[in-house]
Amino acid sequence: MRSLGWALAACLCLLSAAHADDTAQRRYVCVDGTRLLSRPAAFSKSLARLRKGQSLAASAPSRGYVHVSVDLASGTVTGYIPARALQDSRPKLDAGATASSDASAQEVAAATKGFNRQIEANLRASDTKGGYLKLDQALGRTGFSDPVAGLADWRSQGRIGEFQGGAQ
Amino acid sequence: MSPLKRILLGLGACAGMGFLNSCAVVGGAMQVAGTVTGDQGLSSTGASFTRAAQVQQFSDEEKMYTGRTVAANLLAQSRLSGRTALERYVGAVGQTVAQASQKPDLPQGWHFVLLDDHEVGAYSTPGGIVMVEENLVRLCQDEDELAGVLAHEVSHVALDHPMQAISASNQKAAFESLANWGYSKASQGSDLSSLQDQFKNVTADVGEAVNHGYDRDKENAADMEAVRICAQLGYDPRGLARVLRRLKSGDKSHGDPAARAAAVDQACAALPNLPQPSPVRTARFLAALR
Repeated sequence: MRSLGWALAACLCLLSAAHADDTAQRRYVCVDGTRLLSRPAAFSKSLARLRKGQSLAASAPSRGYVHVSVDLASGTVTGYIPARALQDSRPKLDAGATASSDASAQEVAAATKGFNRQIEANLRASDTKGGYLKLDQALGRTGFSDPVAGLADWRSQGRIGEFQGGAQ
Repeated sequence: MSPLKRILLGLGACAGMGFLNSCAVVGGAMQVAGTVTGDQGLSSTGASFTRAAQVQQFSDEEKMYTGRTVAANLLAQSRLSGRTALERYVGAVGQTVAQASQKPDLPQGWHFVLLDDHEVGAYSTPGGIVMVEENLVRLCQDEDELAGVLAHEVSHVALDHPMQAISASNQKAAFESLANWGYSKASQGSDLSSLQDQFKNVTADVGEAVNHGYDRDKENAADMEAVRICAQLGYDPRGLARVLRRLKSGDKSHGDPAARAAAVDQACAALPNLPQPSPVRTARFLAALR
């Protein structure tokens, strides 16, 4: 009788897990380097950086974040990413992409074309007003390699972070 | 700056503090207690949903290259500010609010560029290059107000407003051209030339929107998203309303600043607990301005 109870409990667990999988949807990361976060909050701990095209199981968005489960080399990791870093279909690859596990040769070939570096290079060649030079200058001095970690002390001094009393 | 923009700026010019035209800071789709998701912001009507869905067909890299060219065209007519310390400070505030936006991660990251054109304005291009006039920074009186302004600009990018400005015909032509170029084995010469022409059309549409601002709904949506961002971070979200009240009513198509300020205040009043301005933040804001 006791073993029957355990068996029933195990079945219920399995059914519950299956239901959870049903509610998750297969989606794709559309921004290369998207941070997988430990909590649905901007400055929470980063668990991993996800590559563009990475597929994952995603739940419904809530307050701008999606709970996801993703298979990485180190194993399956769960966390949160911003809803707008995901899309339903596999994204086009970037220029210079190499074949990944699930990209077709045609997709890789197409990735070298489009609104990309080549188009910009052609426009640069005919840029007589120096706009692109100013752009290079401006971007060269305004980049932050890791704004989350790099500005942690600055935020702390100004008491800026996740405000628990506000609109969370 | 384009002559048209100068005219628009001139028409909107006001005594004293000036105004925002290109992007009249911050929006209005506030739903409940200051929380608006990007999806809500983009799908308020059937038409905007369709356009938003189409925008998704441009990859983030294509948006980035579009934005880079729009920025280059703008910079060709603008003066970069030489005040690097102030630019670094604006960048710190901008990067902070961007991390709380719906698009914290972008292919080339977020950039906040300070301009010195003796105008009051800000320009957000796809891909995350935000250009801010020094005079707009000076219109603010503390860091919380600046955060509200920058959160508004960031929200335009995060909500894809610049790319939604591409006309339907140019969008269709661009996608056709991209498809031809992407999959044709003989993608040389005319295909590349056609794609380049379409790219120019797309950047012209986007540049027009970036230069002259968005319609009232988009401004309101960016306002409400800025309120959410500021409240979440601990910035006083009412700062945005204070800046809006210092603007003259310029081009009403962007929404009357006073009406927008009232909408921002209304949204803030619905928040359960408002962050307050901080002396430390105000002190470092004033130090950066010196």
